[in-house]
Parts: sequence; structure tokens; C-alpha cells
Amino acid sequence: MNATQDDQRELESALLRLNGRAWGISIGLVLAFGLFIATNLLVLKGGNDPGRHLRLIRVFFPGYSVSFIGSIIGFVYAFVLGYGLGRLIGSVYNRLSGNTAH
Amino acid sequence: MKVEIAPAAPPQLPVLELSSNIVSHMPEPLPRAISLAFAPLHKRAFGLAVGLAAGLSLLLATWIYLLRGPYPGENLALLSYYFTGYTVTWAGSFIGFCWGVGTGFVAGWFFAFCRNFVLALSIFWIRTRAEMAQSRDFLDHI
Repeated sequence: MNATQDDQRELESALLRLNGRAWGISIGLVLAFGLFIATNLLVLKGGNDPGRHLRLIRVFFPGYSVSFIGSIIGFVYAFVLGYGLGRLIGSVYNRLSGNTAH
Repeated sequence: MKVEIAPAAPPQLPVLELSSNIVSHMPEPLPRAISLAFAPLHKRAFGLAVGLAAGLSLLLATWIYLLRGPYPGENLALLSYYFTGYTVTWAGSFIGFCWGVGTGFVAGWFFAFCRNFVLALSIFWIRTRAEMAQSRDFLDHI
């Protein structure tokens, strides 16, 4: 097999496989901004007991609370979680569809 | 005298000669580079990938909850309304894993299906617009 065919095959594989890092960053940002906005909306809304249910996430995200600081902590947690999920989806997809990463 | 009869030649099929005009209007296959750029998602693989991610998420969530102890108001057991047999126990976490894989697979497969469908529609739309643009000056040739 000559170099041109190798290049062609590598190009096809690169185009067909999912980019795990891009998927990780995308899902991470979606989750992170989702939690950040949801938290701050409740903070801005105020009330006697803001975020009574949302604060239950602290079981899984230690340090998180329904406050501005807590929303930043939640942002980091959610991004890490989403990044991991995205990488997992990308790597499993590439393995199952036969588009292995080089 | 013995006469040998040669076998009859097979009937010649009429050869259709297509004019260059007709040939030019036949839909051509997409170039390789374009078809790669618009490659569809593998539905089954994507469904399994999302299913595995969802199943592992539910499994780990249950384990974290079990390890960190019960919190007032926190009730993962409410998931049993949707996931029959799921409980917040070590055994229930594996049932939840199966449910997560199942629902995740359906969601991922459907997402890939919709994505491929929209992609196919957009290719059709682009091709139709290009063909219409080519025949825009049709009346000028009459």
C-alpha cells in the first residue's frame, strides 16, 4: 500500500470518527452552563428558601450550594462530569463503529 | 453429407444511445470527499455509547448515594416510577444500570436517526437548489 492510500485511509478514519475531546467539551459546557444558569436564576429570584430541590445535588457535588459561589463550584463539577461523559461516548462510539483513533 | 449448423448467435439487445443532454441531467453520485464530510452517524454504535454513559452515570450515582449516606429530601428511589425494579441498594444499582443502558440506547439511536435525517434533508435541499440554479436560464434557450 503506498503513501497516498495510507493518507486517504487516515483522512477517512479521521472524518468518520467522533472527536472525543470536542464532544467532551461540548457536553461539559452544556451541563456546566445549565447548572450555572439554573442556580443563578434561583439566586436572583430569591425567596425564603431558594433552591430547595436544586441544592440536593450537593450529595454528588460536595461544596455546591444555591449561591453565586456555589454556582461556580457546580460549574466546575458539571463540566468535569460532562467532559467525562463526552469522552466516554466518543471512545465507545469509535470503538464500536470501527473508527479507531490513531 | 453431414451439414453442421452453427449455433445461432444470441440476439443482440438494442443499444440505447443516450444523448449527452440526458446523461448530463442524470443524478451523479456525490464525490467521495463530500460524502465523507456528510457521513451519517452509526446509529447502533451511538446508541450503545450513550446507553453505556447513561447506565454508568446511574450506577455511580446510586453508589455515591449509598456510600455518602442518606440525605433528607434526597430520594433517588423516585426513579423507580420510571425504572421498574430500581431501588437505592447495591443490587438495585445494577437494575438501574440496565435501565440506563436501555433508555440511553433508545435516546442515542433516536438522536443519531434525527441527525442523519436532517443531514439528508439538507443535502437534498442543497442539491435541489444547485439544480434549480443550473436551469434558471432555461427560457433563454428557447
